[in-house]
Amino acid sequence: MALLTQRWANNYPTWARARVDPSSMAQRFFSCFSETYDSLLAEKALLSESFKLYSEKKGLGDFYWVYLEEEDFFRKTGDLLYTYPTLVGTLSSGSTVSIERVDDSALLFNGVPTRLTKLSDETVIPLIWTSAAPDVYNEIKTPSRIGITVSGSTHYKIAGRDKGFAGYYLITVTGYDENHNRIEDTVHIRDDGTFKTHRIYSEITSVITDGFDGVATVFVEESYPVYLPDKFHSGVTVEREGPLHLRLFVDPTSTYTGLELYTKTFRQGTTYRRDKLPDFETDDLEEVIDQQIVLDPDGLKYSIKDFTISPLDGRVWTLSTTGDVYIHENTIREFLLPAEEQSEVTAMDIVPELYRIGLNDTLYLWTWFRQMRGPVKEVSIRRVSPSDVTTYLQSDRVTWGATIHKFEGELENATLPEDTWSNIRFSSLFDELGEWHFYCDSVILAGAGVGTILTSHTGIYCGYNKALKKYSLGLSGAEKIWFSKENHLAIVSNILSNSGAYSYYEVANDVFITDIKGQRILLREIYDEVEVTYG
Amino acid sequence: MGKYTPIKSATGVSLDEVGISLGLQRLPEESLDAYRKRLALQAEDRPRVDERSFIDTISRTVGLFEERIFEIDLVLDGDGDPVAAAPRIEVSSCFLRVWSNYGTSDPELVMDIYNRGKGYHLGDVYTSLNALSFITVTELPETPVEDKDSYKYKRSWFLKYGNTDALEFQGGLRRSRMNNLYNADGTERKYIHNCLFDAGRIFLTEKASYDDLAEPGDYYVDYTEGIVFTYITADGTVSYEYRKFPYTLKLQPVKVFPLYDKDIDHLRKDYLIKDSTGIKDRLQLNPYGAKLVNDMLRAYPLQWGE
Repeated sequence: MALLTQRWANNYPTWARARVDPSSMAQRFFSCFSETYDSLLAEKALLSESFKLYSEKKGLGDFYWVYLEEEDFFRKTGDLLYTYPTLVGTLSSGSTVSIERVDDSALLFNGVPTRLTKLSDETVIPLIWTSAAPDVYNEIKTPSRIGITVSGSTHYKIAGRDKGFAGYYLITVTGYDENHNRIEDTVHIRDDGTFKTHRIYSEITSVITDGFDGVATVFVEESYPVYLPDKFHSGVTVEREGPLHLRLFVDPTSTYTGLELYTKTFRQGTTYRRDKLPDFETDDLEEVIDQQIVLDPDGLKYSIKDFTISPLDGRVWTLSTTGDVYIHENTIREFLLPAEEQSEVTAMDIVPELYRIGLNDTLYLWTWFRQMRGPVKEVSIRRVSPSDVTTYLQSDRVTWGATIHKFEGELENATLPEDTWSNIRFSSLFDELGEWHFYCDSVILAGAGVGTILTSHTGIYCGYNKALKKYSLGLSGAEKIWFSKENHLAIVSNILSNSGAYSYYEVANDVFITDIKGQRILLREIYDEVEVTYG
Repeated sequence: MGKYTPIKSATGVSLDEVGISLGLQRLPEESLDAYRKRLALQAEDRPRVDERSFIDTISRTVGLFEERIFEIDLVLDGDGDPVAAAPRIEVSSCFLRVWSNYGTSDPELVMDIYNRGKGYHLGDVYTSLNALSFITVTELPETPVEDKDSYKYKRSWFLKYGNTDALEFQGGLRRSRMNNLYNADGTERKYIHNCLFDAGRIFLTEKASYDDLAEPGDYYVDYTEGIVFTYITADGTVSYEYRKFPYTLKLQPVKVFPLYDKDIDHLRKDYLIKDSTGIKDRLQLNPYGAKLVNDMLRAYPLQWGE
């Protein structure tokens, strides 16, 4: 399901299921269109990434053509039907790779990469400067933009109240660029977090901070992101819309790690700067959109050590605790059509606290007596797990068993239909990944649907994200993963002990696209030689 | 079935647009990273129509970068003043010269960096510079640690033409009784000399120390640190010379020097008796000199016509 489905749904009032329930028919319908909308938005962002100044040959810089000779022309087998050749490319190292055909330029440029090739290893001290030791400036090994983190602030100064403060929350970094010209970059700090300089430094000679009392640290590029904003997607909730952020989360049993998608509503800095504003709890500052346990391409769970968002394809690249690299699509799972259809008339609904939750979470749900025209005779609540095991809510409202328990309506002293039912709260543990189906079967004594069992359905997704691809690198000591400014994959170990051992990998996508009219082949990567054969 | 060698087809990127406006085109086979670095240099240090700028910017037009080799600074005495009275470094077309008291005595070091001899390689230059007591030399080559000495076998003739002399003409003074003199990049300018102030009423009598400032018109210049102190608030401008220390000796991939440089005469001119003096001097263009002049005239014909 596309993240932008909620944007469509937010045209409806908050009481409507179309707005709040992603398992509703309406949202499943909206999802058909928002999928396209979502991918267009991602492609637009990817296009801007392809203009990134640093990127090495990826994107629009160079193409590689193969002009076919007549004996290798694409073979026509019917109207608009062709047989395409099999391509094998010889790399500069001498090894050969199979080159697959794609029929879409988006897949040519931004498809899932097929090959990781190690380029180099080097040792880097990632920490350049910290406000805890302000006189020490470590060497920058390779000129790069500078990553800055500000954390632990308890006070942001206020102009007029804090003596000598001019009103600018900033970090000014002075040093030399890669051509050894003296440069200065000022990063304006709106809140604690992670920032990056615009300029590229080869040496830092001074760092000045003002406006906050937290610890500022200056690192080599993106060594220490606190969280990652996803520029390819938006974070839309029922209430509001903002940038989509990602971070790691651990399930309540501390067994699995995964990705948490959330959007921020307020900045903590806001509370620092205004008197008489209460300190917000973290939960008030952000809204979680989904929690996803990560699975490998075979559907087996694995634990994430670190992750990054690829500028090459907009996808999430993760580093597992075993040192392997996985590629995930950054999206949320689609709610499926329930196996059992809802009745045309609904008397009683089930409303959960959340529609998307993490593995091993316990969630409260409520019944909602919607059609209060007929007295309620009896209600039973069914639960179908992702592995298709049906259980029924028992009288204690906590236990789920194989036998049906019917909650009776309070008919005896009732004068109005609404008096016959008090909504009940019950809980469920979600210990299985996938969509959980909750059915509410109710029998009413008057009004539409009388004489039949009225069934409503509510879906709750225990989120997961299955990897598109896995690269078995087995770098068990690796701690961090990110993309360098040249769009190379950097996998780093020992970074936490500040003696980072960097390994850089070239990311390649061995694919080609055909130009039938010109009888030529467009390649994504560089090969010394390409062999064209027809099977 | 056939085997093919893919043909590279370069297409435009946003950097190319930037390059056009900065007057630097992307070269065939040049990586985007190197091109971006070249454009950053061009944007930071725009070419000007003077000899100095021509020398500074020529390498980047062919996609090459200068390499920093040595940083030379002055040795200071106990008072923080340079040990040398008038230090000067000069790299000409064929010679490296270092003075401790320029204008008064001969250079302490003269190295022929063109011909094979003791100044042919940078390693020899480093050894000679390091032996001078009034300067300190720091090696700067940006080579991996394991190859840190490899630069010593590069030709020293590619040292960039230039010297430590510099002049500030009519630099403004702030309305303050203490004026620090700054470089364009905000760093402090040191080792100034020959100051000329245009506000005569404020700069009437130069004193030997700050403590001697006693009445309007008194002023004191800290020549080492580049600070001007006045008894009353300063105003107007100051023109002065200064020595560019620490001085960075760079290796220039495209060596540039003016043809009027006397030090290259021994390469391009033969001896001839000078009419006015009757003494042999290098006046007659030899074949190499004639070739240079012809190349120049071909590029810049100094007459109407072709």
